[in-house]
Amino acid sequence: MNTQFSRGELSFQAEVREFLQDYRDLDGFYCQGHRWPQVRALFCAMAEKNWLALSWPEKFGGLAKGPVCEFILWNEVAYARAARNPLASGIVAQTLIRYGTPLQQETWLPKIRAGEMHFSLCYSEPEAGSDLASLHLRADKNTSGSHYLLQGQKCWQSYAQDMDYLWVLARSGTLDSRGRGLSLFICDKYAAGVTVSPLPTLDGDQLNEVYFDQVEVPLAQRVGAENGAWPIIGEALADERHIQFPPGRVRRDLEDMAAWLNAHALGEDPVIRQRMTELTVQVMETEILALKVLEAMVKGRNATVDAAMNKIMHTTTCQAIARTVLDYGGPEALVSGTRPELLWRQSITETIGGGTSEIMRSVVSRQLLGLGG
Amino acid sequence: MESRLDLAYNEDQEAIRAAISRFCTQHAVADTARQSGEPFPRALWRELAELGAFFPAAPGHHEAGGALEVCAISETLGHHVFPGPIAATYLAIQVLDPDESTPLLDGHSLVSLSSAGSTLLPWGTQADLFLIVGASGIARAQAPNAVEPVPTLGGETWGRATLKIDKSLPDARRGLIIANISTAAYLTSAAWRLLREASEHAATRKQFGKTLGEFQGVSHPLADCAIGLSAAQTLAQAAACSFDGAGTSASSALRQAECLAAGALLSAQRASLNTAYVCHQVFAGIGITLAGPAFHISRRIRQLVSTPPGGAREQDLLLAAVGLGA
Repeated sequence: MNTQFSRGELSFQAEVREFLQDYRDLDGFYCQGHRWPQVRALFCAMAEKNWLALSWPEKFGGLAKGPVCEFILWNEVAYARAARNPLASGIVAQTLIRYGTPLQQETWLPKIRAGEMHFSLCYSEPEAGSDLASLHLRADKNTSGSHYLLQGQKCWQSYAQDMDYLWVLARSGTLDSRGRGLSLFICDKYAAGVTVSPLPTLDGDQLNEVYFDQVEVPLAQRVGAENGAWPIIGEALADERHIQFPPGRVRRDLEDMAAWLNAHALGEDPVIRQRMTELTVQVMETEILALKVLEAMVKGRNATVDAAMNKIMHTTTCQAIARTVLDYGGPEALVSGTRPELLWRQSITETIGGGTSEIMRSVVSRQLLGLGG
Repeated sequence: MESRLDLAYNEDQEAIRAAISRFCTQHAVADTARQSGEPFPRALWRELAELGAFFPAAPGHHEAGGALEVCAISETLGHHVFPGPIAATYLAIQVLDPDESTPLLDGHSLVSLSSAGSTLLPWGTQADLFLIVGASGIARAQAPNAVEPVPTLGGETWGRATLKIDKSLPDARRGLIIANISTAAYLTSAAWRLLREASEHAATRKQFGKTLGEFQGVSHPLADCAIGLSAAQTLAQAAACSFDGAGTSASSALRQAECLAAGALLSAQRASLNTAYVCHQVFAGIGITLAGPAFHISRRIRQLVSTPPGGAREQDLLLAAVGLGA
């Protein structure tokens, strides 16, 4: 058994920490929508170190580092509250590397690696949230067969207002084909017929609705086989399990809240200390479950259950920390723009995005405990 | 860059687990947990000791520190709901001189570890050696002339007597870390057993035409138990790994092991108790019978959570690490 990073990994961690010194005040983790130019600049600076292609194979210009370095990078970025890991260099690039045509790889990967091209994930719809296989947005070939025409609506898209391209899951088969009738497309966000409409969220950021009105997408921008997207998106999700909910964010929340309590002369209250002890333990639990996910990735084991456990622990701990400070912090914790009230609002979103807690609990109860429900 | 990350026991540690597990199964140990007020099974305890169950904690016995072996053994004993002062024995072996700890290693002596200021002595009527844990560390007490038997929730007979401190024992830190790891490992494993049995029940028992496990009101609380136990158990293992890696120095690595062990203990206490309560509810009618599948485990968990050591010291340790020093 070994729970420590290797000397090389620790050295990389130190390098990342030093790099992030220049981005301490960026604060792009929670409200990227308000910081996008700065976050984009951060990604460009990371690209100069080729960190956006940290785990890509060398053949595609990557550094071919393992999941531990990737975890270290995005965990440190989360602890610094600088940004969240971008979709483009993760899910999009890994899918293109695995399933893209040579032309697609040549077209998209260099720009993604350089931090010049960013994507928004367009999976969910008004009537297809957790049940993604029931989505309706159509992708039909035009009469000449040169393009697909996308028609329909997506909903709950993160960062779509700022991104360059949309990573669209659409129905190319019949509705009753469920997951077997879905295809994946790269769609220019500025193509005719695309409309992005904001849905302001309670953390001060926004999600979006994205409307597609006969939007033309070249055949060359379908990724993978027609009707073959379901296993591809599952695989892409699995690639990212170790970096989706980095525990550095939770550790930083705890430290910030402890500092806030001290600054407001509440750090010695025995009731608060008891509660903060429980939260400290919960943060340790979050960290160790994240390590379990990482270990599964390192060993090439299926991490579905570990990732579901990690997601629940991570997100409920975020909420517990913020709620505790609001519970005990008195009126001062209510002041707009302060960290406690922001975390209180923001953490509510965490148990919903990226798979609700109910879905995660069902994964654990089915796959680990052999139960239905 | 080859990663060394590995959360699995090695072959030797797995072999120890298998040997202890075989021993417990042969002696139907889990069934003895159903009894109340029976004399402490000294012969069984000695046989366990003769298997070498306590040797990993002996200073100098294990090159790496032995905490992972303690963790693996405690997990196995927890799964079988083995009786007795397991964590206290590991602690005593760490803090006592070799001539005093030998009878503990071979199972001929039993230790009672009580909290400073308390007259209630765990396994006090059976104990040969008395230790006291307080804010300032561990002290050895003189054996009392008489110990009054006290029946307890856990079905074990403890004792009541006033102890007189004989001498303070230096450097209890390592012993307390080992004890916390042992208790955390035991608790999580006992609770995992209960959770597995409750899940099997939920997967087979039908009501309203469906198995209980198909109702999210049943399956989701069980999933939450699994999450809590998984975290607590891995924390205990990580603490053991960190302890073994720290060597003999009082370094920052030992401090890390100390924090992890404290976190593991508090995590295991909460997760195992929560699991016990959820499983009673899932078992419903049979969960409230004395002969049913839950009570003999839940009462052991409840008892162990309140058994010394473990308390305010762990809280202070963890809070100091996040800037909330006393």
